[in-house]
Amino acid sequence: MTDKEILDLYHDGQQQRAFNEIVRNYSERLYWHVRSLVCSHEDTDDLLQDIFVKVWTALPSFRGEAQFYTWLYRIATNVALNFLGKQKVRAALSFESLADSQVKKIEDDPWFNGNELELQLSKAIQKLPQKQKAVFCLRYYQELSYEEISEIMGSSVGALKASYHFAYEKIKKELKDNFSD
Amino acid sequence: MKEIKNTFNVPEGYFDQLQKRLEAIPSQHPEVRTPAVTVPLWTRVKPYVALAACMVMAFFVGNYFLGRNQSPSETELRLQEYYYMADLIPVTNPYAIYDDAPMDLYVPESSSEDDVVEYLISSGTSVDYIAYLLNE
Repeated sequence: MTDKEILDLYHDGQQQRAFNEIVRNYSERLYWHVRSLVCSHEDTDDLLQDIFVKVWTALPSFRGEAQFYTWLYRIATNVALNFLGKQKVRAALSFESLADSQVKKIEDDPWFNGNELELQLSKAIQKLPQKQKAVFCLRYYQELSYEEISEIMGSSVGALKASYHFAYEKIKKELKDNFSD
Repeated sequence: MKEIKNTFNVPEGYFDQLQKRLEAIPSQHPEVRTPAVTVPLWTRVKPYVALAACMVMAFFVGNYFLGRNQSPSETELRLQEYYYMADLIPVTNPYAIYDDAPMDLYVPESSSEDDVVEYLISSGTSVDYIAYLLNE
C-alpha cells in the first residue's frame, strides 16, 4: 500500500488498519535506521515502541506538507538523537565519552555479525558528532537524497552536503589509521 | 537501503513479533482520533480582546463616577488656604496678616537698618552685597 493510500484509509476512519499498514511498511526500515545510530538491539527495540506511539498520537496533525516517509524518519531521528543526548550525560557521569561508550557497545554486541572492516566502520561512525552521524547514516545506509534528508533534519541541502563530506573524511581517516597499524 | 543487516543480526522472528507489538499501540492509546481543526487567529484572540476592552471600560467608567462624587477633604482645603495665604505674607512682618488693617495700607512707622538687612537676607541677596551696601 502506498503512503497516499494509507493516509486516505486513515482519513476514511479506518485508523487501526492504516496504522497497521504503516507498521508493516516502515517498522523494519526504521529499526535499521535507529540501530545504525544507537548500535544496541535492546535500545533500538525500546525506542521503536516510543517512535510508533509518537506516530500514532501525531497522525491527526500530519498535514501533508512533507512526504509521509520523511515525516516518519524525522520522528525516528529525533527520538534516537534525544536518546543519545541522555546517554551522553550518563556517560559523562562515568567519566567516559559517548563515543567510547558506543564503541564498547558495538564490541560487546552479541548481535554484531560483520567483518573487521565493518566493525571499524561502525566504530568510526559512532565517533562522529550526533547530527553528523544522523546525516551520514541517512545518506549512506538509507540511501536517501539530500532533499529528503533536508526535510528530515530541517537543514539546508548545502549544509547537509558539507556535513556528509566532513563525516566521510573523518571516517576515511579513522579507517586509514586503523588499517595502517 | 545498504546492507547494514549483514553487519548486525536480530533474534529469529523478531520483526514479526515487533509488528504485533506495535499494532497493539492504538488499543493502548485510545485517544479521540479526530483530525485537528485549524482555528482562525481572530477566533483565538477574540476572548482576550473582549476582556481587555471590558477592563478599559471599567477603568474609565469607575474613574468618572469616583471623580465626580469626590469633594476636597478638610486637609486639602486647609492646605489650599495655606498656599493662598502664603503669597500674602510679607517677608518683613509675617504676623501682619493677623492685623485688622488691610495689608496694602500697612506702612511701618519706621524701617530700621535691621529691618532692611533682614529683608535683604530673606530676599536672597548675598551677604557680600549686603555688607557692601551697609558700608556705602
